[in-house]
Amino acid sequence: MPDMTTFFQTPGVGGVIAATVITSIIITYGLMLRWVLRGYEDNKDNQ
Amino acid sequence: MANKTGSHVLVDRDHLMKPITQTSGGYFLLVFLLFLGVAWGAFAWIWQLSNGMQVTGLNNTVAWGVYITNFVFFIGISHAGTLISAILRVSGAEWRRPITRAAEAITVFALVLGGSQVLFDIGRPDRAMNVFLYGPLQSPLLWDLICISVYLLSSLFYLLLPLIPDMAIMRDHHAVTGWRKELYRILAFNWDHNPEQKRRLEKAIAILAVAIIPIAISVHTVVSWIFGMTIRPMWHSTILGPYFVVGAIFSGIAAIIIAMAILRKVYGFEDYLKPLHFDYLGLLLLTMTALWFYFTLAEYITTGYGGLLEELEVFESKMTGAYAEMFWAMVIFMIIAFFILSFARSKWPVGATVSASVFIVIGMWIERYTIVVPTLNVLEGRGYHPAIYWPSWVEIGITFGSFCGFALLYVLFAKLFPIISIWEVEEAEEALEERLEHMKTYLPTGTTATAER
Repeated sequence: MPDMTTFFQTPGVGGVIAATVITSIIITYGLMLRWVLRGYEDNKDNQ
Repeated sequence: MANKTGSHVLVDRDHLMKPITQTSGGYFLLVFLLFLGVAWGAFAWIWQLSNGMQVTGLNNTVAWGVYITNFVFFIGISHAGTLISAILRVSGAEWRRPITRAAEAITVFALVLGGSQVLFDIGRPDRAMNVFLYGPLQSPLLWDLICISVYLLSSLFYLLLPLIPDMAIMRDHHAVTGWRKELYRILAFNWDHNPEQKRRLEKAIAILAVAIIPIAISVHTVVSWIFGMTIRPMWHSTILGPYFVVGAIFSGIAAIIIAMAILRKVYGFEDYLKPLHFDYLGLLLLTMTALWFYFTLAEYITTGYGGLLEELEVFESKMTGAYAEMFWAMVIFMIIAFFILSFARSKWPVGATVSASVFIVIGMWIERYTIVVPTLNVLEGRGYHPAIYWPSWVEIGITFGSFCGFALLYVLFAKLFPIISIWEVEEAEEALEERLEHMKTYLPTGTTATAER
């Protein structure tokens, strides 16, 4: 079994995790904005 | 349209857009003065970068001084948006409507200025990326970076979403022309006020309001852990997380009250920012004052009674030593604020809450200082006594520039965007009808009572 303590202490791993969290948040908010703004098109489709 | 009480919600769009469509000479003067303040701060920073950290009052013992005090203070102020907008939105407090935008803007700008303080403190901002490149995950500094980045992104999005319908209103307004019309057109994202867009927008805002509360709490908890995770006297305490969160919400409410009072006076928003808003916020502030006293007492009485030698040294430096003046000034400011809010708020809601808020904001900055500095200054004191840390003109300059920068960003924001959310205030009447119907579902109604009799 790999030593997880050593893995998380490896320089750069923390940065990669931080970058992943931040990127995920940006993508989530981008998708949310797209969903809100597409309300107009979806409304037309329903009509 | 009249609601069932027979009264109308009247919104004068032209009045709400006045800060954007009209510019007085006083505005230009204010912007110029704030710009001068920022320029002084920039000069001080360039001086620090050119000559090294020796031009500051910082040293090997006290490496975190005024900059980190400002960092904790600004991050605390940033909780204004979370409390006013998110918590009041989630709890369905209708009176929040005219003040949400002003609060959300404070959050974003306070976070930007708070984050900048770390760059000032590290001395070599070109190495800032090293936190990403070499930062180990067990470092609270990295947790802080993640939390603050997520909070800043969330707050920006939370500011942007409710802005979209207002951007469409501005885009279509006859008084708006030129590059500003183009800016509003871009930021309106083709918004056309259709019901489906509005339904989705309200749902997205509601989801974000719920999500942003734990994010905000995590931010100030992790800020406290930067101190609390070290084995240092009066930092290594389990109470520090909630103590910081309470202090953050406390100073956040005070900041939004001051901002509201200025906007009300300068732009004549008396019809939108009413004494009732100040009274309600004052009541919240009073509750937070009581909570702050409770946490402060709990923290200091435990340390003082426990009497661990290392902790006593820091404790005594605050009670009777080098930091006693600052510590007791903070306590006196908070006591004054408590009495103003308790006894003058209902009679003079605006004046009383604003003056109490000024005492609280200054008191909270001092509180941050007396948390950050004494532990560092006294820790190494056993055996030898280093000189008491005092900020140099460079640190004072950068601090002054930061506060001017915060005010400048806010003033420019209010010049470009409606500082009172137009569509949210306009929708208040509809919401009142809904709320009235909702209240009938849990209050005894005449029909039910008659039927049971």
